[in-house]
Amino acid sequence: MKSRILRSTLLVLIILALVLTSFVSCRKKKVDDTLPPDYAPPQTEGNAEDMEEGDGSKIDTPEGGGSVGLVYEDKLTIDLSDKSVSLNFGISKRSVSNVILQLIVQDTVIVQTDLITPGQRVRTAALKEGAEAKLQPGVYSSNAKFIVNCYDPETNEKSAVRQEIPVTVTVQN
Amino acid sequence: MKKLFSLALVVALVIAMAITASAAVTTNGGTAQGDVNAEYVINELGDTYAVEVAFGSMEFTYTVTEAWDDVNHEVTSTAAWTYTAESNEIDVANDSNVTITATAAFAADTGYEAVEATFANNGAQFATAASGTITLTLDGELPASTDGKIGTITVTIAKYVPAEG
Repeated sequence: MKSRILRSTLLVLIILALVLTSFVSCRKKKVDDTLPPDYAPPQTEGNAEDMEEGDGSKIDTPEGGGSVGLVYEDKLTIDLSDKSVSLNFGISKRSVSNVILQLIVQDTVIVQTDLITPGQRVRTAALKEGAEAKLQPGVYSSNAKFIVNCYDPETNEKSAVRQEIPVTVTVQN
Repeated sequence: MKKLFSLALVVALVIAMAITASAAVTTNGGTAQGDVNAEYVINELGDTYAVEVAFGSMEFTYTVTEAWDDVNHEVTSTAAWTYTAESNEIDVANDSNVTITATAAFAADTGYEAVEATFANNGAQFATAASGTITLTLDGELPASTDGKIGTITVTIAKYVPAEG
């Protein structure tokens, strides 16, 4: 009888321990991997291509600030087998700032480019390592967005102002 | 027998003429003639965005000025946020083929939650070829000895969708 009580108590304790462990792991702060660097990386985006020439003028930019001419479409396609995204995103030659573009789906960074400089466009980009495992074929139309992080071209410092653009992402095999 | 042969020849001749007449392209004195077919195909243009965003340095100064209250015999202080011209502005120009909205939001870094941001002209609509300015003013208390980044401003650019009804 005593041993049965002991075993039952032990079992209850084990279950309690398991429940507590899983609760603590769930409460553990999720590592925020959505933060782009404070200073721009030296390497420019390998998939970027030149856009057509502008008239040479620049956006009228307040002193100490920045500017971007965003040229884009808000619909993009992810090919899981290829681990790549097809998109149309560029910053016009009239821009002053450089840019790092992120594609975020449901708070997870799926794509993060290297530095895009004024007059460049990106039509394809690789998914972040392991991102393909987090996506399923279908359409992600809510909580999918571009984050445009601007960098000063002289100091490489990240600007205080960034842009967010809601997008629709179609994922296919 | 000859009659039979002649008849067969005539039949063959008639069939040959019929085949020639039914061809779409004929040759008449060395000139080729035929129908010209065409199909109208349009690659419809989707929403295409071209938006220029220019922003100031977003550098603000929080100045605390002390004074002596000779009635209550204590030091009093007043605080004010100041900024240089244009440094608090976000200019938006829309050259897209759709109307957009631009909405700014301020996210304070840890330790600066007491700082409050107010944006004028926030959430404004910009039709094609329209432009405008969102301005930021700060309020609230800044912790003493602060000298650096206190938060981030995010400007959300979205297609304007009219409310139903």
